[in-house]
Amino acid sequence: MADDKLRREFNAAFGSDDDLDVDRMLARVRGAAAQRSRRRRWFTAVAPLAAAALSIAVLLLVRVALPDNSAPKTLLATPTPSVSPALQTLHVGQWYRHVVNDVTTPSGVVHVGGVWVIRLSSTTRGVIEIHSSPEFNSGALRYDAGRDTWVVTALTRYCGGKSGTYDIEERGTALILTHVDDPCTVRAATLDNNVFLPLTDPSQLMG
Amino acid sequence: MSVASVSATANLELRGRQRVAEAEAAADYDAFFRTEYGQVVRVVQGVLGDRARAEEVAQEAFVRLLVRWDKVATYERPDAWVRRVAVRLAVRVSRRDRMRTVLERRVEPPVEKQSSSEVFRLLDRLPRAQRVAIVLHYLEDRPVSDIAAVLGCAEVTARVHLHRARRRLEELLSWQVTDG
Repeated sequence: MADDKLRREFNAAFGSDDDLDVDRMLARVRGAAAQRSRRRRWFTAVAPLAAAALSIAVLLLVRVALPDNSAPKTLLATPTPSVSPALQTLHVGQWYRHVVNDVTTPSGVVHVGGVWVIRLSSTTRGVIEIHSSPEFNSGALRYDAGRDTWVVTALTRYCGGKSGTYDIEERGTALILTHVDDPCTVRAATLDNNVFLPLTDPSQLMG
Repeated sequence: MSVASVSATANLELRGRQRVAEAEAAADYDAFFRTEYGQVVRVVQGVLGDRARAEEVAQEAFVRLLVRWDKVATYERPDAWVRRVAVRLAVRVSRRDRMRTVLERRVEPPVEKQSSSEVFRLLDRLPRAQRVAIVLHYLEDRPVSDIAAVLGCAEVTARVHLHRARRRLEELLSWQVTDG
C-alpha cells in the first residue's frame, strides 16, 4: 500500500516525458556525436605527426643542452698554475756561460771553471750541463709553480744532494738567474746574477 | 566482363550494403533514443534533483552511446549501458558540485532547483547508490538485476541498497514500505 503510494509520489514528482522535445534532443545529440567523431578522426591523423615533431624537438633540445662527447675535452679539473711574468717571457732554447773564477769556501777553493750550458726543453723544464769536470756531471732545472721559482739541482753531488731555488729571466737574448734560496754557496756563487748568452754555434763551447 | 569491371561492381555492391547497414543502425539508434531518453532523464533527475542538468547529462550519455553504437547495439542490454553511463556522469557532476568552494557558492546566486518536491528532498538525503536503486525501482519498475547492472555491482549488493533505501524512506515518511 505504502509502496504504491511511494510509487505514485515518485511519478507525480518526476512528471511526464511529454514536455521533452525528443526530436530536438536527438538532433542535438547527433550533431554533438558527429562533431566528436570529426575531432577524433582529426586527432587520430594529427597525433602521430605531433608525436614525431615533439620527439624531434626533444632530441634537438637534448643535443643542444648536453655537451658533445666527440668534441675534444678541455681539462678543467686541475687549475692551471699561475705563471710568473718572468716565466711567460722565457723561450725554449739554450744559453751558455764561460765560468772562469774558482769559488773559495771555508773548506778550500773549489774549481768550477768551464762552460756552463742551460738548455730549456720547455718553458718549465730544462737541464744544466757543466762542461768542466766530469765530477759535476749535469743537473736539472724545473719550474715550481707553488713557490713561483725555478728549482736547480746542478752540482748536486758537491752540494750534498740539496737543490737551490732561483728566478730565471730573459733580458733581451740573454738569460739571467737570480738567487732566491740556495744552501750550496758554490752553486749560488756560480749562478747568481750571472749572464748566460744564447748558444747559437758549437764553437761557443770551446775555450 | 573484365576482371576490373567485376571488381568495380563488387565494390559498388559493398558500398551499397554498407550504406544500408548504416541507415539501419541510424534508424535503430533513433528508435532506441525515442524510447529511452525520457526514462534516462528521469533516472538522472533522481540522482541530481535538477531537471535541466539531468537533460544535459542524459544528452552526454546518448552522445557517447551514438559514438559507440555499432558496438553497444550488439550488447544484450544497451539500455542498461546508457543508464550506467548516465548515472556515472550524474555522480561525477554531483561530486563536482559538492567540491565547489564555499566562495564559489557565495558568488553565484542561489539556484532554485526546478524539482524541489518532497520526494526530491527525501532522495537528497539518501546515499547515491541508494538513490539510484530507489529511482530505478519506483520510477522504472526495474528488477534488482537491472539495478545491479546500472550500479555495476552484484545483485546482492543492489538488493541491500534497495532495502536500506526503503527503510530510510520509511523513517523519513513514517510510512510502512514493504519489500516487493
